Amino acid sequence: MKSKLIVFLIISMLLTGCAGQGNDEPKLEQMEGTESSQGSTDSAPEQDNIRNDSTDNAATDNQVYILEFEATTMEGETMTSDVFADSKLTMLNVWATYCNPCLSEMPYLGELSQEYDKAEFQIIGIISDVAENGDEYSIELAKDLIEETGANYPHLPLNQSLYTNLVGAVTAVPTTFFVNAKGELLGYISGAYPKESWEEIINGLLSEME
Amino acid sequence: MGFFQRWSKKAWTVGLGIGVIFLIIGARMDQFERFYRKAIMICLECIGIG
Amino acid sequence: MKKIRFTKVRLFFQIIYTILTNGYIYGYLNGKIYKGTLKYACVPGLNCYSCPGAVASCPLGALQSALNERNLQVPFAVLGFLFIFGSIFGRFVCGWLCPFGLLQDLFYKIPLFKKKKQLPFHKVLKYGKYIVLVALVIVGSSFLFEGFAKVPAFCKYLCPSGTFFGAIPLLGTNASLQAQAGGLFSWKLGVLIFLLLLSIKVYRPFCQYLCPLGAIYGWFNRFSLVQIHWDKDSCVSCGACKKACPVDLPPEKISVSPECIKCGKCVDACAKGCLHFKKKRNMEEKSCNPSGRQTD
Repeated sequence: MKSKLIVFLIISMLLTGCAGQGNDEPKLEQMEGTESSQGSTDSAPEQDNIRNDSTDNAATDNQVYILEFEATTMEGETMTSDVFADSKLTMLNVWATYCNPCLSEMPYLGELSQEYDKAEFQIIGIISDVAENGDEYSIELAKDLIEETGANYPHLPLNQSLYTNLVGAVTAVPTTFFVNAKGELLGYISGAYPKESWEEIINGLLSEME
Repeated sequence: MGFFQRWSKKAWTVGLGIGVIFLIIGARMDQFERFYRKAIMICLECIGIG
Repeated sequence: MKKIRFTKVRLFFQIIYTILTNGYIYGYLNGKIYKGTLKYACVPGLNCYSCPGAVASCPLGALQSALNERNLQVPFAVLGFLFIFGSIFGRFVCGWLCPFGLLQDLFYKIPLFKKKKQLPFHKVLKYGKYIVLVALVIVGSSFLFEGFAKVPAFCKYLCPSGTFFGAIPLLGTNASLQAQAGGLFSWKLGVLIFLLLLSIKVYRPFCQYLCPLGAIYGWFNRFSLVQIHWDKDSCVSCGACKKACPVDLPPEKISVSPECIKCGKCVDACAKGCLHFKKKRNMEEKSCNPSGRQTD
């Protein structure tokens, strides 16, 4: 009896030990994509739109996913995927007003957006729980949060185009996508990270482009 | 004593009625949207990751 | 007189129910969650909506997300679900409609250790569920700001059902999430493992001592539609029901106590057939109220 108890205790300690690695370096997941769907009138997106390759086979992209969208910023200006051409690297950060990890990294993202030249790197936020034509309360809340966190870069509330082409396949927030100047999706990362980690990733991606 | 027995047998209908009324009030206050959005886009912190 | 063996029916029912409510296979295979309209509804039991297989929402998760709103409102929508499920089922939900309850039942079946029904100091510890309800679910979610937003305190810090059905499958299928699992996850995993190991020896420890949803449904238990009725006149006080009862209830407390999960083991155990579910729940005999007089 007693020995079985000890065996169980050892197993449980091993299991908890394994999980306690702390935050490892974030790994950029490579994307395998199908062609982008035209902004259709489907209410639910095809989740096959963006499939993730969770095995670490880095360079096996048969098809590259080109992100297209049309949306309106929180300021009311229209923005389309043409904006990707403005920068070598665009970071699309999908967040939600209820999500603390998202909000806690947004001040860093605000700083990062100022530190790079716009021709090199830009950040665009996508608010997954506020709709473009949403209720006043949600929109006001989003604006308050953007101000409180100092995330002073453009933010897009959700619309059909963004949902069908990108957000529909996202399972958890925060999720961050990286796109190059041609609109090609380079990869995505789930979870919030400190400023240094983001800097490393951004610099890494930029240097790969040279 | 007899009254309480009979009442507690029917009390479930009262609870059910209250429940339905609450559902309707909640729907008008858009409360279903709030938890639905969280149900389809999980915040990692809320399940203990990150 | 052939009786339905509730013990076997219940296990079968629990398994089928869990598969139905958490059987979104696509989610498990791809590490994603279901996003359809069914998630506008809550199921009665503890059913984390971040489980890749979950097709509906968790009432406690929904309750906390309502309390997490910056402008605090009475969460009518979720209360609506709780009143409906509570009024119909009471803690029958716990006994038949909760995946985490099923998990503990299965662990209790593992033939190790001498089985105990309750922990020492049970009379005090059983109030733990109300403390969890008030401190974590209600106060924590309504007032605890961590950074810029509030958090669902029970989901974040305690819920083992979320760890088992949600966090673990997601981590298993999403490499980028694994890097995110840190100290908080270690704590929750530890809580889960501790409770599961404990449930091998002690009957359903989470349900008896910690579950805030069980606390809520417990309030409905004596008024709910689903009841186990006791025919006092036929009772010979043999104590077989109390012996069979996994939470050790005497016949006058069966079904009405907030501890009773209406599992039906007492119904199977009674040799005189004086315990039975209400007629609506496929029973042969007519139901009697506890005082012995026939009603309707």
